[in-house]
Formats: sequence, C-alpha cells, structure tokens
Amino acid sequence: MLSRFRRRCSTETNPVRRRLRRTIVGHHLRAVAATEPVSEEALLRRVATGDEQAFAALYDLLAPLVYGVCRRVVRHSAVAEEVAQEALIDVWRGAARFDDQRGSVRAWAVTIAHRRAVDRVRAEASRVDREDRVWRADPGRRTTTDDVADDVVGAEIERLTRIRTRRAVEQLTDLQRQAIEQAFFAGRTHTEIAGTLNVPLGTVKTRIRDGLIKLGDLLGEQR
Amino acid sequence: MNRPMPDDIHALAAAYALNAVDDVERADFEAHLQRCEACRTDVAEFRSVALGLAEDSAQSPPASLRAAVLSKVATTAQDHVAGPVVVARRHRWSTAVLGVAAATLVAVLGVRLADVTNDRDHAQAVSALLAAPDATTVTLAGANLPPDERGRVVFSAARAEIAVILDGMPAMPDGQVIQLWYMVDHQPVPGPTFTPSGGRAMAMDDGVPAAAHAVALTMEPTGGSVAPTTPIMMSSDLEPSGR
Repeated sequence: MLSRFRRRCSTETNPVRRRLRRTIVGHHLRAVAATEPVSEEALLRRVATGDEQAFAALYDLLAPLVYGVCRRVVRHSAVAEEVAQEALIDVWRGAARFDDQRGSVRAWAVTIAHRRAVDRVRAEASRVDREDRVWRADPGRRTTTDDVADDVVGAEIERLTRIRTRRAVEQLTDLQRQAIEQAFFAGRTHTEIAGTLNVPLGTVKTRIRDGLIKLGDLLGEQR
Repeated sequence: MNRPMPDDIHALAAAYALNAVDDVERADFEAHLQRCEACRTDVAEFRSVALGLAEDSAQSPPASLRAAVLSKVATTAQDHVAGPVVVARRHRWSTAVLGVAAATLVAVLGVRLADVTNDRDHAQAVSALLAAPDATTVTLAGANLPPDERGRVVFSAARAEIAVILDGMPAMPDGQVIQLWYMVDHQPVPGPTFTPSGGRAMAMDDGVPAAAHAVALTMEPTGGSVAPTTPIMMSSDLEPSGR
C-alpha cells in the first residue's frame, strides 16, 4: 500500500503535475493576483531576502489557510487569531529554511500553523489540568467574509474543495476517520487517541497511516 | 548502531506528520528522519494530504490579523541559515567507563530517568546504552547557566549512539526547540531536536557521525535548522574511549 503511495506521489514530483497541483490548491492565488500569477514559492523566495511587500502578498494567499487550521484546532476565535499570528511570523522568520523538495509552501505553512495550534491546545490542556478549570471554547463566532465577498470564483473553488475533501473523508473507515480527525483537528497524540477510542496503541498509528494514504489516493484521483 | 526500536519507528511517519506525537516521540522520530530518506518522503507526502484537510477548513481571518502580522514583521528579524560555528570553549572531561544497571542511573546521571521520560522503553534504551562496554558520560557545560541547570550525555562510540538528558531547563519560548549538534572537524552537523517538559528533556540518537569529537546544543526554531542560528547554550567534548 505504502509503496503504491510512494510511487504515485513520486510521479507528482514531475514538474508538470506539480504545477497542475499547485494551480488547483493555489486557488487563492488566482483570485487575489488575477493579473499576474505569482506562485507562493516565488513569493517565499523573495520573502527570504527580507522583502516585506512579497510577504504581504504571501500573507493574502496563506492567511485563510493558516487561520482556518488554527481556528479549527484551538476553536476559540481570539486564541486562533493569536496562534495564526505566531505561525505567520514563523513563516516570515523561517522563509530561508523552506525546502521546495519537501512539498509546497502551502503544505509547509499548514505544518507550521498546525504545530503551533497543537502546542497551544496541549499547553492549555495541561494548564486546565493543573488549575482544574474547564476551558470553554466560544460558541464559534463566524468571521466576516468581507475580504472575499467579491471573490466569487475563489469562493466557488473553495466550496468544491470542501465537497471533494468531505467525500474523500466519508470513504474512510470509521476508525481511520476518527483517528485522523482526533489527531489533526483535536491535536491529540496517538497514545491519547488509543485511550479515547479504546483501541490498541499500534492500531491508531496504523489507522492514521492507512487513512492518510487512502485520502491521498482519493484526493489525487479527483485531481 | 541500529538498536532495535521498541516499535517499527517508520510506522510513526503518519502520526508525526499530523503532530500526533509527544515530545519524546518527536525527538526520536526527528533523529530517525535525519537518516531515513523513505520516511522523509513519507512525511512530505502525508503533509500534502494534511494540506487537503486544512484547505477544507480555510476561512477568512479577521481583518485585524493582517495589520497585526504585517506590523510585527516590520520589526522581526529573519532567521538566516547560518554558516558554521565553532565551539567557543573546549572542555576536557574525565572519562568514566561504565557498565551499570538501571538502578544506578540516579548516581550516574544525577537525574531520575523516570522524571525525564515515563516511557519505559526509553529508560531501558538509556540503561542499555550505559551498559555498552565503551559507554562514557560527560557533563555539558555552558556559560552563565543557572546552577540547577544540568546536561548529561551518555555516549558509545562503538554503537554510534548518544543520549542527552537535560534537567532544570527553563521553558522554551513558543516555536523554539533545543537542537543537538555534532561537531565533526569543527563543523556542526545537525542532530535531533527536542523540547523540555517540566524542566526536563531527553533525546536519543543512534546515528552519531563516526568523526564527531564534540556535541553542542542551541535553541532553534521548531523543526530544527541545518546549521546553528543561535549561540551555543551548552557543549562538551566527547570522549571516544578505546581510540
């Protein structure tokens, strides 16, 4: 299974497929910079030289993604804004370290944002443990979408992306889906997940892995 | 060198890519990643799948975020992928050749391993390392360290294996980790990264470069660096016994 996964993925290092993939996932790019398509990779290279204007452009492409991840994981909107800020500053600071052989800028940004969000959730959880207080997530203030209200094309692509991802997620087994959701969206470790799902530790690791491989295949096929 | 892992460590790639690991597992896996091309590929691909999940959650941030980030950027220095550094001070430490049982870990390391890690497999791995015929322990030294801040290194040249155990460490700033460096011909070679928890931290690596003559620790951004970006916090010569 994994070797098939590797083979498929390795074909995506093909420049043409990569460009295609970037066009699909980088839909914000087309929406924001419709006149001159500048890739996130190109912008990040300029950011690495200290170019603040390039960073502002990159911010516009990455912020919904980064904020969305933070919001989904930490749940509390004000905390999500704080964590997203930290993550975006990390992108600025660490721009020189980005390695384009190891995936897209968007995937890199998600890694940074997700790690920040997970660290916050875990720190909060241990603080709550200590203080024996209940951390209440706010009921979920919807942020205004003024910035993208005019961005009809972008919104449509975003909607289709969501449908596609959800369809793929629905094809996972319950255990795969639960393990991945608890890991990615609740910031739990595989050990904790084994406890909440009441399954052996090794099983969770395997379900996360199998589930991600299947998701990768499903999302890849739909592209 | 290839000490049998308690579990197949390759199986951790997916959980690692989703951050579904604790600090000890992360340190272990990052050490493993340094020398496993297959896992580096897997992690990159699993992260591209995670991107798919994340795209599903994308939403417009409050307008205040943009102003806050851009103004912060104007006053935030960027990390530079720095050139080589040299260990400022070289220390000679007496060699202690040890073949000890786990019970003497307290005496040897000055810390209770159970405090550092509650993972029995890690405690056993350190015990096994200490039992290697050529195992040495050295103390890490650094400038202006608080008196209760300690770093110990257990090292076996024959096994190319090292354990670094830190005690009394202050909490790391957000987004920062400790990274171990091997000094090879006075050039730093990246080692694993790790994060203190409750003042303690531990890292193990079974891929110590054969020519490593010293180790150093620096603070680096999460994920580690290819070359040190901050001054050395602690360092020590390694005493390759039997050479």
